[in-house]
Amino acid sequence: MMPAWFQRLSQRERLLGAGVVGTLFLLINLFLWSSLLGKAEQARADLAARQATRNAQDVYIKERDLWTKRDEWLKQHQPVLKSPGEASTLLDQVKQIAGKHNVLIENPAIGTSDATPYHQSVFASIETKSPWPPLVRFLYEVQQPESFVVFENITLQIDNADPTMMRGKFKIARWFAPGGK
Amino acid sequence: MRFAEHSGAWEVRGMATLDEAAEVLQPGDDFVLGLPVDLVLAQRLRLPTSDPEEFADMVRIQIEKAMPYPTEEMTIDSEVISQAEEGSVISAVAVHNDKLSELAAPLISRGLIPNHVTVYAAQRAATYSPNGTALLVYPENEAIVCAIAEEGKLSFTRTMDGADPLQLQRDLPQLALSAELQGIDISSPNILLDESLFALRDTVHGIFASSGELIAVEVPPAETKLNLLPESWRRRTAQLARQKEWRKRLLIAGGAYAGLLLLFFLYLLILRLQISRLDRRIERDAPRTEFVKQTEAKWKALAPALDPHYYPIEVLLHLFQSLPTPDVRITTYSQSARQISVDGEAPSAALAYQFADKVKKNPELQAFRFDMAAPRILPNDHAQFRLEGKPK
Repeated sequence: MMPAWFQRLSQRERLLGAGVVGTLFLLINLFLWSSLLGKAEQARADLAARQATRNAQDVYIKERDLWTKRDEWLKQHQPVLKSPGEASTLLDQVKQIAGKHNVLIENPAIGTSDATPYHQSVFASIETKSPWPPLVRFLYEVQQPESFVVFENITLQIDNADPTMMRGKFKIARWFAPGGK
Repeated sequence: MRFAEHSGAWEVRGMATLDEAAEVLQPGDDFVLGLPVDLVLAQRLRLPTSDPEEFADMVRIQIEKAMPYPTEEMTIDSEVISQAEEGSVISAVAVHNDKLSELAAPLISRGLIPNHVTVYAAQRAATYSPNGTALLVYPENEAIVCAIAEEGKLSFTRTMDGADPLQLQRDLPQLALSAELQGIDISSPNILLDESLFALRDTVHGIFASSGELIAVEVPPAETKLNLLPESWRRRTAQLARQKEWRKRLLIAGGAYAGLLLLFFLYLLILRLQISRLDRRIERDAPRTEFVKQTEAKWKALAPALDPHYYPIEVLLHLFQSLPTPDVRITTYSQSARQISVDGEAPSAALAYQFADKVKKNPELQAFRFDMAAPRILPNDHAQFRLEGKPK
């Protein structure tokens, strides 16, 4: 049975009421479903991020032995900065290698670079003039994995005056273990 | 009476009023309302036609003569008792709608609309005497009903006050005479006496030379075609059926909507549970992976010192290997700890692009991402290019 109040309504009033109720229903649904879909989208994004993190964790766990070995290797081989004279030592080493390969060194300078969480460094900057083959041998000998020598800046170009000669500018640094390690 | 809920047998319950009957019924129940004789006009009509299509109008005219109401205010129905070529004998029954509504008010006010409205005497006649002529005598509303039925159809009725044998002895002969005057053959009727009127059995025997047959409540009563359901009730029934159908549809739609919402909430819940499970696993393994992450970051930071892929000598070697022809020359090479810049000159722009393409595809230079701006065309048609590489 229809409620008495509904029966008292005219057809026009019933239509109007149905329109109002329908509109309210649509609005509530619009709000409800947009909220639900938004939450679902956010949850899917969160899940994807967590899965990516978890996959990365799985890889880390699988490679743990490798990274343990690398950490040990770094502790054993990364040199320790004992005194500010290390920059001078580095320059001497560079000069020695350059001399060995007949690479002319000009404008030598030394200094220390800013420390980072992973290293503290000293550098030697030089300019060179030499043919290409000795320069290659010089580059090869200066930088070896266990020496922790880095070419922080290098510029090579053909000498304008003599196209058989190469001119180079180098900032050669040695990266020591960070302080306190 | 109704079907018993569990056994399926007919269950008979006596109700003093329709109010009581309404208590045991539900809206939408399929039930028949049997009217008392004193509410209806039952007439035996002889019509000069055998065409059933003409019966309704003729019956309406005859009833209009006999009843003090316009036919619009009445519900009329009829049944054929017998038919011959020269005409038809009809049982016509009419009820005044207002009186019917007044009687059925306890039902209607509760939304209980019968599917069928008939006369109880017609039901009893159809049940006990579907053939021949029968005289039914039974109590109704503290009175005695005497009804004559032909071929199971009601053709004559009388109501007598009280169950007094003397009054019955006086009134029954008059009833028989009146019936005969209307053309009813009452010479050897089947006498049907309600069992509650057993005390009147001898009186009836004295009048009709037949003690009669005792009858009880019909279980179940026979169906009659006589239907006095008013048109307004039919419309209301159809309206209620439509409302019920719509209610059912709305219920199904509501259920489906609720189900959809529930499924969606379940989906959200499952997503949240998966996130929580992953969070727990990530949190559990975080201490084990933290060391690896720190070491990896440190290794990457120290890569220019450790990884030969970043050594200028290695980079230069692979750049020279990528030269498409010896005519393409590198004029300036610059490298910082994390960036490479290669200036050069090629005999044509196509060779410059070819060089850039080979550099990008060189597997030993994959630690860098190389880009080349459009080469500058020199006056001698050579192309001057700059290739820049940044660590990935």
